[in-house]
Amino acid sequence: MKQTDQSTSIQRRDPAQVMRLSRLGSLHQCRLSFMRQLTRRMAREEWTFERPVFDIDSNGVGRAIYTAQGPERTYSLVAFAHDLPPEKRSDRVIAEAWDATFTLFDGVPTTADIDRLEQNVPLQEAGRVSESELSVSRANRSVRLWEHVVARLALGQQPDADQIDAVGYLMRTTAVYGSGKLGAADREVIAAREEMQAPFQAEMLSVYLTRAFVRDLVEHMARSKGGDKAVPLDPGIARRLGIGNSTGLGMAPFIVNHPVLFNNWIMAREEALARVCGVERADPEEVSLFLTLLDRAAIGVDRWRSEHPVQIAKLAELRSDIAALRAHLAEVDFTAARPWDALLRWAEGRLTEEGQEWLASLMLEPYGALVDGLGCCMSDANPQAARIDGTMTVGQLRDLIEVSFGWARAIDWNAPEACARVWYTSEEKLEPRLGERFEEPVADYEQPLAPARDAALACAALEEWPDDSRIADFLMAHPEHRHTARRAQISRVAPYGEIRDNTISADVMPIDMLRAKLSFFGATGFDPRSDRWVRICMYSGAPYPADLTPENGDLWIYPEAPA
Amino acid sequence: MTYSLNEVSAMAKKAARGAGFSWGMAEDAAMATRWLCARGLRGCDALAGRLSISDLDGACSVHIGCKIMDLQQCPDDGVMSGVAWPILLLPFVAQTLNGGSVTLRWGNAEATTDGRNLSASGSDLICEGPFDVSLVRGEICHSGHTATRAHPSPDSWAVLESLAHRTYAPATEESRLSGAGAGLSDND
Repeated sequence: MKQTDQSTSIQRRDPAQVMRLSRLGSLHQCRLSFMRQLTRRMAREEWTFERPVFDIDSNGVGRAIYTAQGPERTYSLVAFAHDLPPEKRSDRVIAEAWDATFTLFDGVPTTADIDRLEQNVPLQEAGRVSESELSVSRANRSVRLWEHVVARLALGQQPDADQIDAVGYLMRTTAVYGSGKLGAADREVIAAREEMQAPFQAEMLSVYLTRAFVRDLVEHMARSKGGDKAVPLDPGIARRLGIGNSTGLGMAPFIVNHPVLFNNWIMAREEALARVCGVERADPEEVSLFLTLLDRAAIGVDRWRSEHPVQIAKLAELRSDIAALRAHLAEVDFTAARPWDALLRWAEGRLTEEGQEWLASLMLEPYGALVDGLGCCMSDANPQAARIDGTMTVGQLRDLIEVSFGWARAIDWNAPEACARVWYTSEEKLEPRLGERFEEPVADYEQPLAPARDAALACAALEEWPDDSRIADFLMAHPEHRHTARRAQISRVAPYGEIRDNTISADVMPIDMLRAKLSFFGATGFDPRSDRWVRICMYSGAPYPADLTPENGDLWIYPEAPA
Repeated sequence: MTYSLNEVSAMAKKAARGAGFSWGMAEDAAMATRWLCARGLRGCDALAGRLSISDLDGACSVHIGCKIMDLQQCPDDGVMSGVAWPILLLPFVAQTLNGGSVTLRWGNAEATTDGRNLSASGSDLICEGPFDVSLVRGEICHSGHTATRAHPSPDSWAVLESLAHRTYAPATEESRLSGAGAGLSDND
């Protein structure tokens, strides 16, 4: 990665510091987040958007199509709206019906395509799509906010601002599948396209267009109910509404199962942070932009609500961190050398991890020129990393394991609290679940999602083997440690690929893993519903497709100060 | 029905695990299956065939393949005896090539790869055997077929699904209620 003349070399933070679950569970969106990469690109390239089909009846049932046209290709969101009885509305994978279902079509669908999709997309996991589709997703309404907004608009009134803020979205997605799931196109089919190079761009585009559909649908329902009296949603209120997302355990296995990909996300952000910390002198305009966005981000923190005790405590700490940060900033001499490095060091001694990571993300904002180019390094284009080098010696393997999991030697893996949990997949729609090893009959179905425990087991088996023996021989005798050897070798190219905590301990909080992933999507408003389930908001504040410009295509993530 | 290669990988890994492979071996079995499918060969049929043999008389092509790949070298004498489903050796051999090419022959089948491309022929190509497999270096690989979708036979896919199912925990009410931790209410 190239350093610019403006900065001097600062080391990236140590994986041992960054990859703790408590810190991963405190990450915030930043310039490199996938939503912002997408909206920046679409604004810069002047993408155009159309709605060629909106065929929805007065009960809210029908189909709609939204197209997004970039410089080389067009993508189409095909939306199906349904009339869902309340008792069927569940956010879990085991649900079988939803308020709305979607697919992102690669190109512009023909009528035959739409008919085919109508037979399959509403069924979600029970249906099949083809290589012409890039994602499959579904969404449920926030029942109380939906009814309130439809009722108000139908009467010619705007919805209540407090109710809007209390929920933040009219619909929330409960799964967005891509990368070949349910028969859709593989990632490899689109990975070479410039606009799809960064991770999850198809999925992020699908959600961006879903937000436009949801606004159209709620206004359509209000017109169906109120006739001529109905009014459209106030643009300012519409802009504050995002798309919710309800996420369960599925995302936790993802970051463990994709160590190179996850490393690339974390390493890009760490490299960005190191570059900004290396900036020798801060321009007054850069400082001014940072301070302005800090104020705007703080508004976002004020609006952030959660009912979960852990997040309530973290929010209280974050607010107190922001107050301490503001007091400190009043004293900071930004003309001194390396002011951002000094600021981050100050924060490490004074703020909670939630506050430190909030500040770290904000510090990147004035430095798009240093940071944004890292966005294209965040996908995994290195399948060779997974090939085991069996000529490596046992001693070398031991050393690699020590780097990633030396900390885990202190754990007594026979203690029930150290291995209390089991990650498994249920036969019920293959829902990922977390069970109690000593209370449920699930240990036989354990997924390999405890790399630290498995590293300890491999180290125990390796004790019998001399340092200079080849691991190919070890792995033939002990195939059960093959995945651990692979991960250890991957760590050579992916230093941020391993979580440095016990993922099966009695007190593990899976929401930390979910938040780490969701923060890279660009999610805000993390609101855990339990230790393994979190709701978030996406695109809150973003311009709708017709309003997207280079001026508003990036910093929309930070709320504008109230007029 | 066609499947994405990602679906092939996911299914192959679970099926191999369900058939008793370690997780690490299952990952490599998945790599091999996908590699074949991405070159238009019936990788799923081969894996389903291999995993269907519970007490293997001959040598397991996945195990031999892993060893070849790990050591980055093929057997010195160029002969492997009594290999079941030898087509599964190819993806592993391909991982050892860094320039040059290798031809494997068994029965009336012949397959040449330069690591990336594959050209293959013969009615024994996707066959159980066991076969004695010979390995020759340096033959020219005519650029082969590539594919972005897999076309497994319904029977093979059903075999893989049934093996994969062994990795899924049975549905219980306790698991349904607590395992996903869906919180208080789905509605808001």
